[in-house]
Order: sequence, then structure tokens, then C-alpha cells
Amino acid sequence: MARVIAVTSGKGGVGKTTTSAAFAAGLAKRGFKTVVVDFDVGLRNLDLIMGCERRVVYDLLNVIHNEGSLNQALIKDKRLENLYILPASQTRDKDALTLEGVERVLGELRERFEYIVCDSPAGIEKGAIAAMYYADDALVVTNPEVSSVRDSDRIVGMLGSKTYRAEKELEPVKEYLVITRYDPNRVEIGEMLSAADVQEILSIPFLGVVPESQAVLEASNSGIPVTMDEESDAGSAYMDVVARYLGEERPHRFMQAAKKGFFSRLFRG
Amino acid sequence: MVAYMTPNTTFELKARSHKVLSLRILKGDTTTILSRLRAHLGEPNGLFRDSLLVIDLSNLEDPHTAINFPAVCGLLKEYGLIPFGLHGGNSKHVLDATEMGLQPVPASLVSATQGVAPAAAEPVTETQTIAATPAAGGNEDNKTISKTVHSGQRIVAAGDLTILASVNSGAEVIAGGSIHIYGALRGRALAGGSDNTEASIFCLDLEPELIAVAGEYLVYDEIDGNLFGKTTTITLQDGKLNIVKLGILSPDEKQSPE
Repeated sequence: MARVIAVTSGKGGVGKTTTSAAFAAGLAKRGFKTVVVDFDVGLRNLDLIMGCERRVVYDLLNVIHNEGSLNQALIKDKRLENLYILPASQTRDKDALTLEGVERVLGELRERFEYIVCDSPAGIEKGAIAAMYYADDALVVTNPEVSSVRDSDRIVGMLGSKTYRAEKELEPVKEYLVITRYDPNRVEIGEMLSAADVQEILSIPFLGVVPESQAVLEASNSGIPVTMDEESDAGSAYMDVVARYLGEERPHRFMQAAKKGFFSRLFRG
Repeated sequence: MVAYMTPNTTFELKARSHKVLSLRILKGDTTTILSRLRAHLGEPNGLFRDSLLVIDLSNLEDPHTAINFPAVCGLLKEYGLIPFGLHGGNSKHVLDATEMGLQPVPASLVSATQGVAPAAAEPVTETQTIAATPAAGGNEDNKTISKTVHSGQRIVAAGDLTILASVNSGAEVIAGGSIHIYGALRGRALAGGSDNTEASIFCLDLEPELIAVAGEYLVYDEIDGNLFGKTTTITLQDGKLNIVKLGILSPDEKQSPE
């Protein structure tokens, strides 16, 4: 049974698109047939992160408005066998997203894929609602700082009330917390909220932290989902997140500040 | 001879607070409104028997939408609701409503009241309602919420409100009676409606945006910083909010020394 996973946060710039790309690539790497759908109509970025921006012909809105078929719009990833991308339209606005259309497209995708990862736009307006409305699961992406946590908290509330599952009183959307751009050193000196603080406030199951990493920037710039480089800290953190989502136990990493050596203490002193 | 000099045996004037529901109509024709209302309320089951209700047209999308008051009031009465007031609406609405015995009422009667349902529209209000269970064996005005109240959510209880989790920043809990929070209060808590001065607020960890009892309020900056993070009770004394640290169970003192 296919699962629709919304990647959402409320606040912008916290790493939704990076997480969507990395998570979808991670699932594909684990052997699941996965598609990642960009709901950020008018401000699409997923195609860049996935490195397929030059192959976009038809997009999500063409499919919704029957101007092209799903087959025409789906882009097959060149690196991973099981990974597909459904890009957003850059030239329209979010009002063109209809819930009926989204339901139909997701219905078709459910027949062909095991996991459908929906990259939500920022905010709580139409685009974000469309991305989360038919979700079975949600990854709530949060940075360890108060404004991001509050916006995520708002999204958690909405997942419990403004989704298909909530409105039809079905089993609620399963929410999972992913903390990105985590820097244990800054947590230690009190500049950042700790993972424990964020978990306590949002009170939803925790999939792990992704450290603030140079690898993310490099991966984004070169159009490679960061999980394709498992050697990197962020890549392996995302693979842990994927494993925990699939129900596996993994010890939490990247949550302790690096021990400082004698010299660095001396010189930073 | 002169009535006011003798003890008054002709009448008694007494106050009693009632739950007043409001039906906020946002858009739609009467048929849609009626069918949505029927779908929303289900079979008449006495849940709303003798509840007072105000029809609120102040948020009508198209202010010229005609409302068939006899039909709407008729349906509401089937559920035992007593529609008595109208808020907002154009002059035609007011005229039609008055014929049905509805009086124009001020916003104060609507904003502080409980919403039944936004009728005939997708949920447009910012507030989200959360399923709440009436406290077992208690007054049905009381509510117990077992999940965290998240930012943007608003919980209203006519009686006492018990939250078995935290109230997060940006969330709002409102009760006609007292509010008990078995978790952190990081958002707003307003107890005692506008006039119940006996109400109090209890919480395990005080970090509020705003606290109020019977309309008397304090914001975060006005609260003594030593009380933050403490288990506290908030009452109204001599017209002012009194915050008292409770017992020895403050979270700080519970933690074992490292």
C-alpha cells in the first residue's frame, strides 16, 4: 500500500526541499519505488536540487489540468533506478492547484509507486494545504530555533485538523520530527535549542537530527540529493532518518559537541 | 405606598451566565446551509437542548446573500437550540430576523461565544476545533484535552478546562471556569470568561504569553521572572492577578542533581 509523505515546516528556508530530495533518494536507495513531487508552484526548486532542471517539459499543473499525461511529466532520475521526479510549474501560481486535481494525480501515483514524497511550499496557504491534504505521513522539518519551532507547531496542529484524514475522521496523519541544520556546539553554548527541547515542545515522534553541513550546500549546488553521498555527515544522517522512518532502530548521531583538543581550547580561550 | 421603600416582593433580578452558541454563516444559499448544518449536527439528540444561539452574519462573504431566517431558525429549533440574536448583516437581514424574533446583539455576545460550525463553506476560520471529551461524571460544560495544544489552535470550554499536555506558544485556551494544565503553559490562558472572579489557572510550568482571569490580564513581560518555569496557580485577588508558586513540585526542584 503506497504512502503519501508530506514534507512540511511552515517556515521557509529550513530545508524542506533538501529533505524531500534526500529522503526520496534514500527511500529509492533502499529499493523502494519512489517519486518526489514539487508542490511549490511558482517557486520551484526541487528540480535544481535533483539536478533535472533541463529535462522539465510537463509539470504537475499540466497533469492536474489534463494538458499532459503523468508519463510525460514524470522525470526518471539518471542515477537511481527507483527514483522519479514530478516537477512543479514555475510560470503559474498556487491558485491553479485544485484539491480534486491533486487527489486524482496522487491516486495515479499511488498505483505506480510505493512512496510519494510531497515537497511542500512554505507557509500555511493553498500550496501547503494541497501538499499535506492527502498525506498519510508527514515529516515536519524544523530548525532548532524558536520561530521555526513555533511554525512547525502550527503545522502539527493543521495536520491534525486540515487534512483529508482529519476531516474524514480516519486514522490521523503520522507526524515525524526531523531537525535540520543542527549544530551541537551552538546548542552547548545556548545559541540553539537542543533536540530535546524541540521534541518536548512539538511532542511528535523524532526521526533524528541532520547536522549543519557543507555537504548540503555542495550537493544542492551540484544537483545531487545529499543521500547519494553516504560518506558525508548530512548524507548518512538522512539515511538514518530514512531507516528510522522504516521502523529500524539506529543510534542517534551528530548530537554531541565535538570534544575540543588542548590547542583549540588554548587558542579560542 | 412607595414601592421602593418596602422590600421588593414583586420580582427578583438575578444574573446567571449561559452558554451562548454562535452560528457564523460565511457563504452559501439557504439550501446548502441547511443541508450542511444537518450533516454537521447529525440527528437531533438533545445535545443542544435549550442552548441560546446568535446568528452571526458579520463574516458573510457576499454581504447581500439572502438568508431565509424562518428555514434556518426552524432547523435550529429542531435541535432544541433557541436562536435569539443576530449579529452583523445588512438592513434587510435585520428586518427579516426581527420578524423571527431575533434581536440585534453586539459583538461582545458573539466573539466570546462558542462557535457551532462555520456553515456551508470549507473551514475558513483560523481557529481549529479539537475533539474534546466532556469530563467523566462531571458537568458537560467541562472539557478535557489529552493532546498538546499547538500554535494556532484554540480551545474553548464553557466550564472548567483540563489539559493533560502543554499549551504551546501561539495557542489559546479559554474557559468560563478554571483552567488546569498538566504541562507547560507557553501560550495564552484565559479563565473565568469575563466575569467569573472565582476561577483560577493552574499549570506545571509557567511560561505564558498571556494569562487572564475574568478579564484581568497580564502579559509575559509583566510577570515576575522568578515565577517562570515554576508550578503555579493564578487567582484574582482584589481585582489583580495573584500568581503563587505551588508546593515543592516545581520542575527545577524535581530534577536530581547532576
